[in-house]
Amino acid sequence: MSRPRTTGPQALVPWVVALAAIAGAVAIVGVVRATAPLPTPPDGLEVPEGKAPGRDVLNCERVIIITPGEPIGRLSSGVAVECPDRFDGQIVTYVGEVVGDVLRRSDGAWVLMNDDPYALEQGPLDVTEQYAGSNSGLSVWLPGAMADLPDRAGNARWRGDVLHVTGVMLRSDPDDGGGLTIRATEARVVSEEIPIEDPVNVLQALVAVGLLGLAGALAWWVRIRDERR
Amino acid sequence: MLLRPDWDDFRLIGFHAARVVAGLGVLMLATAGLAVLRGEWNDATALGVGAGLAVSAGLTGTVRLRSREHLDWSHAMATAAAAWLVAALFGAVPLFLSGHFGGPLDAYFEAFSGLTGTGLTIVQDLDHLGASMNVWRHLMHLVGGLATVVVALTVFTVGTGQSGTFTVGEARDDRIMPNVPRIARFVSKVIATYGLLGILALTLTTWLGGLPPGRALWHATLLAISAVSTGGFAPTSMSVGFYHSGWVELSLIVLMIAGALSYGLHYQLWRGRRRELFLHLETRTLLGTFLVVTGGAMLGFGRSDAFTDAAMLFRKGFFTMVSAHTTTGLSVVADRLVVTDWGLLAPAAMVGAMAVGGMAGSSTGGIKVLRMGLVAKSIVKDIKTVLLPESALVVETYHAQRRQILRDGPVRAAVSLLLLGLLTNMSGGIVGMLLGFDFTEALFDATAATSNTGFSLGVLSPDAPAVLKLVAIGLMWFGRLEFFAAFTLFGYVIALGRGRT
Repeated sequence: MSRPRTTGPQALVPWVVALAAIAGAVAIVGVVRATAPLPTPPDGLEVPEGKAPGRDVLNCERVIIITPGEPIGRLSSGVAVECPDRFDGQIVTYVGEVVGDVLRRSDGAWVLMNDDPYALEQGPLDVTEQYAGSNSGLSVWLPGAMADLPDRAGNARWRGDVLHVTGVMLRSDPDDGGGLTIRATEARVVSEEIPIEDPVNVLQALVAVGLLGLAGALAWWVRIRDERR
Repeated sequence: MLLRPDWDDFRLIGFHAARVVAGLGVLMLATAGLAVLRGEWNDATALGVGAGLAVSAGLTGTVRLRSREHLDWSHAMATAAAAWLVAALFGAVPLFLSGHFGGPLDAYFEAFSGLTGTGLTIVQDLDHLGASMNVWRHLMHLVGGLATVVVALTVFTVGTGQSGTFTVGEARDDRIMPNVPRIARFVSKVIATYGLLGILALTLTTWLGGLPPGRALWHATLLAISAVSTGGFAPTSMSVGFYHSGWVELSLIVLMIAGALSYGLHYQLWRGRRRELFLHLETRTLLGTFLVVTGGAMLGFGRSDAFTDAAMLFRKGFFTMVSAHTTTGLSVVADRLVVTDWGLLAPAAMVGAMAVGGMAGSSTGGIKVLRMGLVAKSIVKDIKTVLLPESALVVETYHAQRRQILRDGPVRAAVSLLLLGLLTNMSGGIVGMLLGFDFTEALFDATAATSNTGFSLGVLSPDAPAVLKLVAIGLMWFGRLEFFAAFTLFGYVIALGRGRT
């Protein structure tokens, strides 16, 4: 510690002032966020397949009944990850939004298909502003001509194509270095890509301009002050 | 006896913390520029609000608190502790305004995770997040990683079981500031070199993996930043599993290992002293601990029948263990599969790898292999003392940039940190259990948070209770600051009330 001057609780005064300034800043940010305009959900967001099956599994042995070799119906990514051993090698159907990018290879394409609420029943967060947790999905291999099915993958500006695939789920796919995948044997598009309109938040823009102007003025003042010294 | 801090002490800490905030604001402004170029207007203005607040607050702080006082070690430690807390507050502003976080606490958690190079994420609907906001998440890793290394090489070289400073035989300079710019320049140079090589390799491999060139460059840049700063964030919710490419995984393994090496060792290697790589206690210990935990994990994979050939073991098993030991947290499978498909041994090995971490003087978290090596050497010395005649003088040596005699001070500090690390991990696990989570899963996530690793079994999620998120922020903070810097800040506050003038 250096030599004592202002000691004790008085030394905290500037910090209290700083905390008050931070609280003010938080209040500004809170107001800006609270007044963000709600976008209008675009048409066609609903997915014909409806709500995805449950994502939470408590006991794989009890919940799942499998007839080997028969299609076992629609699988959710949550259940697949919770019970990979039960579905290994089984024919499953899976519905999800293609997100990120389509990784096109010479003999097909890899896609990440999400089946969380943002992908299916609810739509992207920027459209609905309804929180529903993290993304979840499965990697799907689309062989041959099926690779051309997805036109656009979902991102901040688009809800991507929603595909319905039937295929074999592999717990450790040898052609993917051991990843959990679905090797599609059939695929179709159930919902085309939809653009996401994100209306400009005017208040946020004004606050940004004001604060950046303040920051610029401060920087200019500090520079002039330092030069004079 | 505690000395009561005075206004000048806090002024000095505030001055340097304000400079950090101003710098972060400039970086945010640059990211806002990127958002404008991409036409992501709401993200641009969100980043603009954050930049405006950070630059204004930072400049005001530097002007009002300007100080020519001497920055000593306790000031530097307290500054590091305060700077991470405050910088995350400003880093969280654009994240919160993006609308992809459930509330201010979630945005703060994400910013804190980014700036501490942890990589735990509670972002909602990441796959529809704007590209520039995703860049901001990763840039926080970059500055956080750089800051971590500089702080580790300048501030944490005192009394925390980290032997040696930056160069061979360099006497410790009691003044911090002359060292910081010099070390920061070198660390930036190394990070830039590995980063650019990584971007090149990953652009090529992701392009060959099916991405269009522009998209390949974007993915490669974010992945390279995350790997070289041992961060853990990734551009998509599937992390590295998204790319389905062994070459991408191999490139990332190289980058993660480069990021986990001490920058003191990088310095020696850059000066052509390759022998250091083989002689240094840290590299030897790192190799030893990696072989032990990876051996355990491989045994676990075999028992669980998760992987049936060598390619699978390498691409999924080896990658995961490198990611865990370097405390990066990039994953090639959904994290939950670790507990649902990999048996018990492999996740336990991951916990061990995360707890140990990488080298001191790097951006990795965990206890650090140097301290494990010192403790192991000390145990060997004790055993020799017992076995040899009473009159025998037992001297144990180790190589850390030069041959050094094992002394009690560094060993004591290493043991203290080891115990603190284990206690903190356990405490986090118990808090998770008390909040209704499975203890082993809570322990896994608590270890990940304390060791600044991005793996999560789902305990730390957007739906987690607020108190758990706060505890996780505390664990990340303690882990990043290697405990003692946090204690120093606490010490300042306690001394305000109890210290003597």
